[in-house]
Amino acid sequence: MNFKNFTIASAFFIFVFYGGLIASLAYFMDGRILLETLFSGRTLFSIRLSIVAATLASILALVIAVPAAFALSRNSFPGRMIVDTILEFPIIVSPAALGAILLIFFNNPLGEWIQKNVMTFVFVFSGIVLAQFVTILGIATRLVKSTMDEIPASYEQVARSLGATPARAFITITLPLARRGIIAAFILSWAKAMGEFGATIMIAGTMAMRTETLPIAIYMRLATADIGGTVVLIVCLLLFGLGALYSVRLISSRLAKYA
Amino acid sequence: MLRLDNVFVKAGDFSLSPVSLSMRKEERHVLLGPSGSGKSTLLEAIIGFRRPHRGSVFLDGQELSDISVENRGIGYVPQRLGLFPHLTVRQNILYGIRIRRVKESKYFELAERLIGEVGLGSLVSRYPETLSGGERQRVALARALASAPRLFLLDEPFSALNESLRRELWILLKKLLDHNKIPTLMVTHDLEEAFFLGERISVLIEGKMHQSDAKTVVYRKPATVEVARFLGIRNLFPARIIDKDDSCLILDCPALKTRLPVNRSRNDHIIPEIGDEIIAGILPELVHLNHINQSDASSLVRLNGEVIDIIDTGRGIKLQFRPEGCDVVLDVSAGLREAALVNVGNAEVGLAAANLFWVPKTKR
Repeated sequence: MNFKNFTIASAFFIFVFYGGLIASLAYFMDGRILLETLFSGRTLFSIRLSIVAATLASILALVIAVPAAFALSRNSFPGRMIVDTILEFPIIVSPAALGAILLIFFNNPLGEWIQKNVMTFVFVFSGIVLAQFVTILGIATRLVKSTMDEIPASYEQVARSLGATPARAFITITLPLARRGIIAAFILSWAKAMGEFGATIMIAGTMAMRTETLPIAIYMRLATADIGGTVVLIVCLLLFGLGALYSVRLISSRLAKYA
Repeated sequence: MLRLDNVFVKAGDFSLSPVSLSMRKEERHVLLGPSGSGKSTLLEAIIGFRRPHRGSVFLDGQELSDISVENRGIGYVPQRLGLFPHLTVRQNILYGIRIRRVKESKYFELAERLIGEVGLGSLVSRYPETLSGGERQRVALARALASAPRLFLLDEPFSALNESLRRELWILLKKLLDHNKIPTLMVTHDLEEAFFLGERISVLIEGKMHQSDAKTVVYRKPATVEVARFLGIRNLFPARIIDKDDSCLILDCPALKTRLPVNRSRNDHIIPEIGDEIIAGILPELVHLNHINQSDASSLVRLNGEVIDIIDTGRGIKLQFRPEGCDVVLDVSAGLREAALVNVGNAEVGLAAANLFWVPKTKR
């Protein structure tokens, strides 16, 4: 086997490995259980809860990620390297640890004060949104920053020489040019939030029909040895994830390079 | 108009020595220098992208340090043009007018006139990615001028174009600037471009301003060895001043085994003294090929020697002339018409005092 064939075989191995795992779900697939599980009130609640929470978390993350990514891409400021490095924090810390950190935070005096006077996060919907937000914020910022890095700063410089303030140059030039990248970042963050489990279970728990997101529903079904129902929920999650990834590919293929 | 007073700029590890420069009203000024000499850094300090560490930039008598980029009224064309890819040609050109929410019709009339002047009438609805290199340059020029700037800065805008397109755009730019009467400072490393477009030229080498003069002075009387070398003059020979009067210096040049009379018109701020060691320079284009034009009486110094090589450059010829008994070689340039009359072998060249220059031996 020459080197080229070896590399192609490696690529196919990945496809066969993941594809095989997904295909193996079909063994436990049953038409009756599929319909029963899919249209049960609990499953629909999980799907709705996951979609709403992931959408909210992704919007909140983008609201912060876009200006932060612009700052990291364009400016040199004290602490820039530290901020840039900490974006990877949710990746290097396991989701369960991330959730534990949040839980511990809400048990310190400041956290308790926030829970009492601002908003409750532990074992409620807002806790799910917070867990997902914490998990995706760094990734969303990193993705938007890559888009901003591809847009030459000279566009903004020219816009400013033509009379635009920094904010107007950002709104009229950078933002439209980064539009597709920001949408892609939103979709990927949303897909990641949809599948978030570790941090969510730590802060929001496993309360049926209350904090039962799709991944938590999978966990709960499996805990009761309902393999058929678990497979149906996994397929649902897969369809949401793959649909999101396909949308990103579609957007990326149209993404113009502004080098 | 534009005045720089000891502007000192640092950009990472690179720093620009304090630069002073002044531009007159409606002047076309070229900042010339090799790559990495700090030309673009200086331009960025003028427009406001970079804050000078010391010194001041004045435009029409107004100090610019506290004025933001968008309020300086300086038109700018960067090296890569920076055409907004999501806007059409017309939207690009009108961007400055719209972003400043200008209502006066004179600005829209100016933009429409510029679209016509640069020949973009049929392309206004197109997006930049569908335009050719030359068309993009035209959009960038029209866009910068449409805001009626007080000063126009260009950072090597033609460097990526082919020879014929560049020349075409030089002519267009010259016409635009003459017509719109906008003072212009242009950065380039291209000698021909600098001499074609500039009325005055400032030479920046390794972050230091070496000369700022009328373009004919810069070429005929370079101020330093570095400028002469950058201009491609290789005929630089160590010499010593052995006599002088009000108009002329007499140099002893051992490398050419002769004495050279040099006019004193340049470097007057440096008082040359008898005995000073300096560098004598000879422009290759102004060396007289005496065996071609025997009647030339202006040559004061004649050198006998040998043409050792003839290089056809396509636009003329370059001779390598070795004066008799010397180890050095003199570059001599001649036109295509003279090419057929020159052969390798014995020859005589003539040097006129007015065509020689001198520069200090040590760096100033």
